Amino acid sequence: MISLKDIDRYYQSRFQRTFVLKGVDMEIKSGEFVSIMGPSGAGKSTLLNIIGMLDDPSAGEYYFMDNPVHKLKDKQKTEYHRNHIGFIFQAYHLIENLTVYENIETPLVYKGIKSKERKAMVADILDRFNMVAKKDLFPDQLSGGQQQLVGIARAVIANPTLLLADEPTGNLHSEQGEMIMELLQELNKEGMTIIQVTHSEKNAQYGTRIVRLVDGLVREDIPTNAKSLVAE
Amino acid sequence: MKHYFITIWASLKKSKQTTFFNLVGLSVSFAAFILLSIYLWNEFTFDRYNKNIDRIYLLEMNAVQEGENNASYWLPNPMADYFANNIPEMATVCSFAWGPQTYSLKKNDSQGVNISTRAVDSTFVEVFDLKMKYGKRKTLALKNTVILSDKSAEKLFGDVNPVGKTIYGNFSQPYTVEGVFFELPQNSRMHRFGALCSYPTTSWINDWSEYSFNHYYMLPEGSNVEDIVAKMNASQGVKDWKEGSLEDFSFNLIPANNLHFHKKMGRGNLLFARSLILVAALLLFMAIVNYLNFAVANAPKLRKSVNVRQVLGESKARLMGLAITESIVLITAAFTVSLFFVISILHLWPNMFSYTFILGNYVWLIGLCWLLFAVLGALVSIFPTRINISVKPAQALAGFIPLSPQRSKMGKGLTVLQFGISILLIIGVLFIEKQVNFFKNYDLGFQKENIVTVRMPGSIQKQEQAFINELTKNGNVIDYAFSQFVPGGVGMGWGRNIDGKKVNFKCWPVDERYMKFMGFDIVEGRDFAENIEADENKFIMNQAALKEFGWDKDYLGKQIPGFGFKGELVGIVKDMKYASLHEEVKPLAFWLTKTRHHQLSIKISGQNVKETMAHITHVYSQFEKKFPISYSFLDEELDYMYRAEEKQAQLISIFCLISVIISIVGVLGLAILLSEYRIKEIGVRKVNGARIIEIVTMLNSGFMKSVALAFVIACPLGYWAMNSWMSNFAYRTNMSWWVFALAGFIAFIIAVISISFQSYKAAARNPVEALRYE
Repeated sequence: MISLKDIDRYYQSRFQRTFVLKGVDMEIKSGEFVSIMGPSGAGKSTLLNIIGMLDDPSAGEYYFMDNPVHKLKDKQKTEYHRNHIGFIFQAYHLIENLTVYENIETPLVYKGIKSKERKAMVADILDRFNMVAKKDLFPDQLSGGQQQLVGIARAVIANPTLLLADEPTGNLHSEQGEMIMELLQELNKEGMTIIQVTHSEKNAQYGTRIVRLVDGLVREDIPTNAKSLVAE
Repeated sequence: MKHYFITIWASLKKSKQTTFFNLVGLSVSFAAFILLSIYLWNEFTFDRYNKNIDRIYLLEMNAVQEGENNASYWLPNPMADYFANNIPEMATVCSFAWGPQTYSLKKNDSQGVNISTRAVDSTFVEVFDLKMKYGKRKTLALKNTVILSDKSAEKLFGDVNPVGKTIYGNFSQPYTVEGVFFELPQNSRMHRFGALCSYPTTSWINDWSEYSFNHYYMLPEGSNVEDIVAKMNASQGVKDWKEGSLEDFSFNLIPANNLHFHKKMGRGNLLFARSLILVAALLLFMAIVNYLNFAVANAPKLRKSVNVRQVLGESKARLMGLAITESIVLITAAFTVSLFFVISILHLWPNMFSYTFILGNYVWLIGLCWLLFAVLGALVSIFPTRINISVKPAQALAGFIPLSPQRSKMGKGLTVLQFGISILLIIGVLFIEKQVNFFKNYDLGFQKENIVTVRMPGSIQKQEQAFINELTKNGNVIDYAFSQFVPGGVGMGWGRNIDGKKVNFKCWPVDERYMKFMGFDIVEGRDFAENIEADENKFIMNQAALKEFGWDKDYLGKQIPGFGFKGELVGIVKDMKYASLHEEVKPLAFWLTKTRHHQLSIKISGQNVKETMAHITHVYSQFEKKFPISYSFLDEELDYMYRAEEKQAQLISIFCLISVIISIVGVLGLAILLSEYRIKEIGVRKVNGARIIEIVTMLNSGFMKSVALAFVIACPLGYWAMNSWMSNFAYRTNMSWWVFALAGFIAFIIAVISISFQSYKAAARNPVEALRYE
C-alpha cells in the first residue's frame, strides 16, 4: 500500500543541508498497524507528514497504492485526503466554533456527500463512540479524551484506508490514553491501516510493527512481538 | 527610556502588515480631516477678522408682491440717511456704492489695471477693520480719494509708497491715493475689493429711485435688534413712503456676521458646509474605529509579552504608558504622511476649495488636529491594553487564548458600518451625476447645440445689417437672430396689471427672426410677422403666463402694457425651459422690438468650428475696435447652470474614494487578522480534504454577508437622502433601482478583490505549519 524508496528530507541553508530524514526505505502493507518511535527530533512527525502528503520529500520516491505521490499535483493530493487518508493530532485540532456534530461532519462536506446521508453517517459514528449526548457541545466543553474521540471520529467517518496519528494520546492521562489506543486497535482489526507516532513503548504494543528512527535514519523495523535490540 | 522605544519599535515591527494598513487608513483620513478643517474654519469664521462684526447689520427691504416676499439690499441713499437721522441707535451708517473697476496712471492711458472698487462712506474706518501699511486709518473723508490694498498698490506702483499720488479711475476720473491697507483676509466679503474710494458727491446719490447702495449700520453694544427694527417700521418716514406706494413693504436688519451664508447676499452654502462637518467627522471616526479594531485584534498576540513583562515586575502604569506612547508614535507617523498628502493635494488641485490655502497660516489649526488625533489614539490604545493587563498572567502564559466571539462581532459591525457609509456615498455620487446628466440632456423645447451667442456693443447695433451681411458670407454661418437675452439669462421682470389681475412675468425682447431661429413651438395664434414694422411692440406669451393670468378664452388680441405703449398679444408659445431646470417654467412674454438687440445668436454648421469662430471674430473686430468680442456657446452656457451640482458631485466623489480606501483598509486588516486566528482551522479543514477555493469561499463569505447587510441598511438611507436632495429641483431624474444595485455591486467587487488575495494567501499555506504542536 505504501512504498517509500530512499526518501530524503532536508533543509537547505546557504552552506549546508540539514537532514531530517535520510535514505528511508519502507513498505507498509494494507492492514498493518505501524508505530513510529524515536527520540525528539528524530524525524518521526516529518515522516508521518510525508506519508500523509502534507509535506514533500526532498528526494526519493513515494508510491501510495501504486501511484507515484512525488509526481502528483496538489489537487490530486486533496483527492487522497478526501477519500483515503484520515488524520489524528496530539492537540486534537478540532474547530473551536463548530459543535461536535459539525466537526465530525466536516470531511463529508468536502467529500460532497449529501446532507441526508451525512446525517446518517454522523449519527452512526456518534452512536458507536457513545457520544450522542455530546453532539451539540463545543470542543472546549469536552475533556481531552472526549475531544480526541471526536478527532478520531472525524478522521474515520469518511472510511479512509489509511489513518495517521501523531502522538494521539500525548495530551491524555493514562486511562483516557488506553481507551483511545483500544479504539485504534479495534479499527485496525476491522481492516484499517494505521500509522502512529508515539513515545510510549506501551502504546506501541497495540500495533503490529515498530519502526525506530534515530537522527533521520531507520535504526530498526521489527514486528511488535520481536525483541528490540535498540530500545532502552 | 531607550528600552521604551526599543519595545515600541519591536511591537510595531511584529505586526508589520497591520501597522502598514493602520498608517494608510489613518493618514488618508487625517489628510481629508485637515483639509476640511482648514476649509470649514475659513467658512465659519467668515468676516470674523472684523472686531465689530457682531454689531454690524445690513439694511433689508421686504416688498410683498402677490403674497411673495421680495427682499432687496440695493436701496436708495436717502432711505438710509432717514433712519440714521431719526433713530439714535442707527446713527452710525456706512453705505457702499459701485466704484471704478479700472485704474491707470495717466489720463486716457492705453492700458489700465483692473481693480474692483467700492465707494464707501467716511465712516468705513470706524465700522470696519483695516490695517494700514501707508497712511493713516482715518481717510476717505475728502472728495475723490482712494485707498489701495497692498496687492493693488504693487500692481500700480511696484514697491513705491504711493500716498499722495494720483490715479485715474476708468481712465478719466482722478483719485488721490490716501493710503495703502493690507489686503483683507480671503474669508471676508471685502476680500475681492482691491481698493476703496470716497463716496460719490454727485447729485444722483440723493435720488429716491436710485436703488444702487448697500447700507450697513453699526448698532451700539448690547442693543436689541428687534426693538430697533420695530422702531424703523413704526417711523413716520416709512408710513409716508407706504402712503405713496402700491406695494406693502417693511424693513429689516440682517446680521453681517452671517452674511456669507445668506441666500441672496452670500456665496457660502450653510447646508453644504454643515454636511462637510459631518463628512469630516465620519471619515475620522471610520479611521479611528479601524485603529481601535486593529488594536483590539492585536491584543491577544501581544498578551503573552505584556504578561511576561508583568511577571518580570513591570508596573501597570508603565505598561499603559508604553501603549499610549506607542499609539502616539504611530499617530504622529500617520500625521506626517497625511501632511505630505495635504501638500500634494493642494499642489495638484489648488482650486479644489474656494480659498487658496497657505499651510503656514494654519500651523496652529494643524497642530490642534494633531492633538485631537493623538488624544483619540491614546484613548483607543488604552482599551486593549486594559484587557491584556486584566488577564491573570498564569492564564495567559499557559498558552493560546482563542479569539473571543465578541471580537468578531465587533469586526463585523465595523465592516457593516464602513461599507454602509461607502455604499451611501457611492449612491450619492451616482445620483448626483445622474441628475446632472438629466439636466444636461433634458428636452428644453429648443435646440441648444451649435449656437454661438455674441454680445453686441452699441457700435454694431447701429449698423446691424452691414454686420450681418459680412457675417453671412461664410457658409458655416447658417442662421442668426437678435434678442436682448439668451436662454439661461432672461432677466427682465415685469409686473403688469391686465384686466384687473396683476402677474409678474419675464419679458424677453426679441427681433422678428428669433422665434423661428430657436424653433419655439407656437401653439395658438401666430408668430411675429417677417416685416418687423407690421408687428413691432406686439407680444407672444407662453402657456405658463396664460395659466397665471387665468385666461381661458379670447385672450389673443389682448393689449399688453409695455414701456409707454400697449401691444397686442398675437400668439401663444409652448412652454420651453428657458431658465435653469431647478425651477418650474415661469410666465414669459416675448416682445418684438427693433431696440435692445444686445445679443446676436448665430447658428453654425458645426463643421470647421475653429475657422467659423475666427471668421466671426474677424468680422466683429472690423466693426468694433475698442471692446474685444465676447461670445459663448449656448449649450456650454446652459450646462454651466448646473456647476454647483457638478462641484458637489466632485467633492463627494473624493470623499467617497477616501471612505472606500478606509473601508478597504479596515476589511483587509480584519481579513489578515481573522485568517491569522483561523490558521489552525484552515489547516484542519485542509487535511480533511478542503480545496483552496473552498477555504477562500469560506473566508470571504463572512465579509460578503457584512457587505450585503451594509447594502440593505444603506439603500433606504440613500433613497431617503437622495429623495430629499432632489426635492430641491423642479425637474428630477428617476430613483432608478439600478443605481442602488450598481452601488452595491461596486462595493461588493471592491470587497471581493481586496480580501480575496489575503484569503488565498491564508488558504494556500501548508497546513503542517499551522498544525505543528506548540
